[in-house]
Amino acid sequence: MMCPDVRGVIAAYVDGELGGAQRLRVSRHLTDCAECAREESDLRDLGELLRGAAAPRPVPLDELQGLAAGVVSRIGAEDRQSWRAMWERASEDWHWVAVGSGAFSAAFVSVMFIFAFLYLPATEARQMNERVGTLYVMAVPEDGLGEPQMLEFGSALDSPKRDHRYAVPASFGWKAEQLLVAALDSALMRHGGTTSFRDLSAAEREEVLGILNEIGRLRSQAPARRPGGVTTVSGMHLYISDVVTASGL
Amino acid sequence: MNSESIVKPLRAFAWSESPAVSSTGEGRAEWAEDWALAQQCASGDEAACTRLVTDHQRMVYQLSLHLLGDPQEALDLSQEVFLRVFRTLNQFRGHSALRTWIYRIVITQASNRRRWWRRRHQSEQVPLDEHVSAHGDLPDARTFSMPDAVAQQQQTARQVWHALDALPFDQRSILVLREIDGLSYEEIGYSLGVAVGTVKSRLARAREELRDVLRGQTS
Repeated sequence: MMCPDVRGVIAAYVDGELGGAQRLRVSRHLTDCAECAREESDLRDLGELLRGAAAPRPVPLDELQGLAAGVVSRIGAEDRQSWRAMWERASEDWHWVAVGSGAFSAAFVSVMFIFAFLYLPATEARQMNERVGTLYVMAVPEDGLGEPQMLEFGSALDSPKRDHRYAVPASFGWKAEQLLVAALDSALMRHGGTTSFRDLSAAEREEVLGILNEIGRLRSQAPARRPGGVTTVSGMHLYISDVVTASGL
Repeated sequence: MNSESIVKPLRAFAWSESPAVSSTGEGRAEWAEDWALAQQCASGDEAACTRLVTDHQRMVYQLSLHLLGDPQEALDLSQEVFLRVFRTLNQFRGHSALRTWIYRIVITQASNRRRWWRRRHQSEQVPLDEHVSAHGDLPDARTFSMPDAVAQQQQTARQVWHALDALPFDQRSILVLREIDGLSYEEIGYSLGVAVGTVKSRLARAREELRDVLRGQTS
């Protein structure tokens, strides 16, 4: 090894950081090169100087003995303090949680009130309509040329906007009215006698009122004939909820 | 207090990890022991925490003293270091010896403390030249280690520490770690958070700088 090579690694040599082979080469060079050996000696002296300066400094054993207890105690206190602080923060947060919950509850009650106000009547009406029976009329053209038709009267009660003339075509004339009257009678029959209107359920009342309205509407119109002949209603069934069943013809 | 966790628990995954493998069997044994001790401390074992402090307090104090130069400052720093150790024990992965990990904390805390101290007392600092002129010339460094001159040795020690005071903290710390504490380049690199190559170059500069300061004191 040449001097520049040794100078580059001589500190690592002194510090014991060189591998075996390289350490051996540097060692051999140092035995032959006085200048590099002086550099090595200076480095070692510097280290000795520092270690010698550090050596006389006493260690305060008494104070160090209390160090562990103090540190462990303080860490424990910090840990407890951290739990307490966490609890206090949580308590403070709960204040806002309570306020938020109250506000949310008030909003929820308000929404539910508005919902009930807007939605429940519609629901009741829908349920009433659902309970209302349907009046089916099987109509056959009087001349026997046309196909029998099933006319659905109940649909007239589902929606007040529905055109009643669709439910009872004018071509059916007064016979339709007679059948409606018969259906009305049947609807009011209970155990062989006519029951009071007040004893009917809301749905039944609606159905009966629907039939009455339909009869009134038919009477307000002039009877008409369907082109090609007179239609005869051949059958009619009235279903009001699951209890009352009326039939005619 | 016995049943309470006095340090924050290690992260769950850390418990299942094995400590990093050292290149030597002795290192593996030491690191595994460190890992076990750290686990015990993290689980709230007060006796283990006490043992961790007592095992390392002398080393921490001496390193603090060598870095700061003042015994009281070193004691205060030692307490700060161990508090820091327990507060950050969940970050110890077993990738180094616990001793080296603590070295790193000492260096960081000492650097912070020295920086703070210098900002606070900058106006009170006395240049080295003024100090030397006030306390007399320094003896030749080659004569410092004479075994029969205890008083001279103490005087020499003071001069050396004054010379170290004149160095930047990174140079002083690397000299202390290498020459006094005897850390390897790799351990120094970990403690300072730098690569081994940086350790070599910084150590060479520090040695040269210290020699220049000592020569300046004796000239």
